[in-house]
Amino acid sequence: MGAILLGAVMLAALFAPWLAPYDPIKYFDNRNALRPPGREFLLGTDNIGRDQLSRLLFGARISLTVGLAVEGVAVAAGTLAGLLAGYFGGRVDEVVSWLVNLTFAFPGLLLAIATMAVLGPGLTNVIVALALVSWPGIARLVRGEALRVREQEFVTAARALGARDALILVRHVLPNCVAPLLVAATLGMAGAILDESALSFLGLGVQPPHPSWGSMLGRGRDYLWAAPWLTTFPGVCILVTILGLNLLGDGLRDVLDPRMRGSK
Amino acid sequence: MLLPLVVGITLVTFVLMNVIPGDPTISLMDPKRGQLDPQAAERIRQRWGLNDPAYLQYLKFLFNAVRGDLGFSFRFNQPVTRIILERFPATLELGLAALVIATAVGVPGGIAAAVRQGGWLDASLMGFCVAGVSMPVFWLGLLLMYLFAVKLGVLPAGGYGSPSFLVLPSLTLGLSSMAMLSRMTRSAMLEVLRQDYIRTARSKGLAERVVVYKHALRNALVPMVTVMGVQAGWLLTGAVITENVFGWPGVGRLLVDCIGQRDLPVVQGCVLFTVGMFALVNLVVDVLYAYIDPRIRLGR
Repeated sequence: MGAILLGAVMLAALFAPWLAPYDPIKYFDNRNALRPPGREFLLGTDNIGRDQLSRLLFGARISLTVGLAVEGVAVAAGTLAGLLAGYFGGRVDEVVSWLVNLTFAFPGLLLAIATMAVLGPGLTNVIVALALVSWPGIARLVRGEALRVREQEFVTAARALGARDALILVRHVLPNCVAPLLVAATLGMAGAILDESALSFLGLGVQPPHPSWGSMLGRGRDYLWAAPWLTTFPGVCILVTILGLNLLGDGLRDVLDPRMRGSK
Repeated sequence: MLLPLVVGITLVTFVLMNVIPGDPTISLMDPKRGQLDPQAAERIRQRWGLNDPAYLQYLKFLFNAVRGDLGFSFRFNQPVTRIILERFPATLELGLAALVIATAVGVPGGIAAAVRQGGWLDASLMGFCVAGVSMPVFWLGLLLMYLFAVKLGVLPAGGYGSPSFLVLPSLTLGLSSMAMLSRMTRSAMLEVLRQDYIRTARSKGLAERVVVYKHALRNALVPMVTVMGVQAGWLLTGAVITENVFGWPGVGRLLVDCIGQRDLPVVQGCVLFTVGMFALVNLVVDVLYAYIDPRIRLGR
């Protein structure tokens, strides 16, 4: 179910240039402003006469780019930090744990908002800000796994056979983290996409004229009375994407984690 | 453990707000009147210690923050602490209302779903939970606004005043917490209801109501309080979004407004203040643990 929803969004993003009937940014005509959904413009037009359907299709690209890039960076950095901290302990662990706790001391979006305030709006900055708040969750998860695996006998056996730390980490510790990582990254992607749309909605994220779903909603808010379709459709897009990722994440967890089975 | 964290938080906030290029005195100038006279700019720098080395500025900032002085906003021409405290009651009102809604619906809902596991109520509640967690707050707010303010015209679309203004924002903010809380309540209750002492309680003929509310609920409270603590943190940032949707004059709206205006002392103050509130909530949660579960004692 989640995979179907997500697949639809991915296809939309991938084939946006061919599916979109109009150019999402350049095509605009003030005479067509605020047209309700109809034959010419399937999902209506915005305040300066841009086709909403085309903008939504290209918006899928922005959302997925943010989701993938943020989780990519977060998983890479978080895994590395978590592995080192959990496996070696000591000073490394202290520093990593301090950084993780530090980030967790900022509730939710706050650190991302503060970072955006400093960096200024823009797609790359959104990715930087969200990656900054996403990696500690991954690091904490991997650290826990690494701590658990480190004590197991097959690691001791590998070490007794003379394996180097790097080899043990890659061959023995890392594979044990893959399943929970996959779940965390899927759910994290949902969070990142939701956060991007929230930042853009507040005017701190992706800037116009680029079609981010969040900023489209933020703009549409001013036309809630005159043109409710401007807030309805971007919202549906966000909801469908997030729902798809969350369902997929929950599904993955049920499949990959036998402990969770039955308790559902 | 706490001290390095406090230093870290203040340091992060301080560094974030001070890496921005540009001379803060420029923001004092009226662009229409052209250049600020350099001597005046120098006097301002002297007065606010802007010529001091960075570490000295940070120490001053830290020292003042500890005393409750978060700096001075040139735009408001007021101390930052006063500006934030003026806005805070509105945020508190919104957050508490949302928490009450989330608890009042989420906890009984979760219990009911757990007791009749697999029933229609359970299924529909879980469906609602997944949707509630995936729903963007700002879209929910706009939908409610459209339905109740534009279409039905029964509630105000935004602003601050009589209790009717509170209904839509608190519903908006509370819904996802409600979903999380009912999901957590349900799984905590299911976990507890499976245990032996519940079977004992039932087999000695206690009414089901007593078993559920007196025996089971008490032990399910610990994970529930944890979620409530996490939710309170979420409510703090969710409030930033909700306040901006509904034009609610709280700290969250102040924060976003001041980012737009580049009023950095206020931004810095809002961030630090919110982190402080979050820490306070976590402390309350820890104390609640000890109260709920006598096995957990503080400072063991």
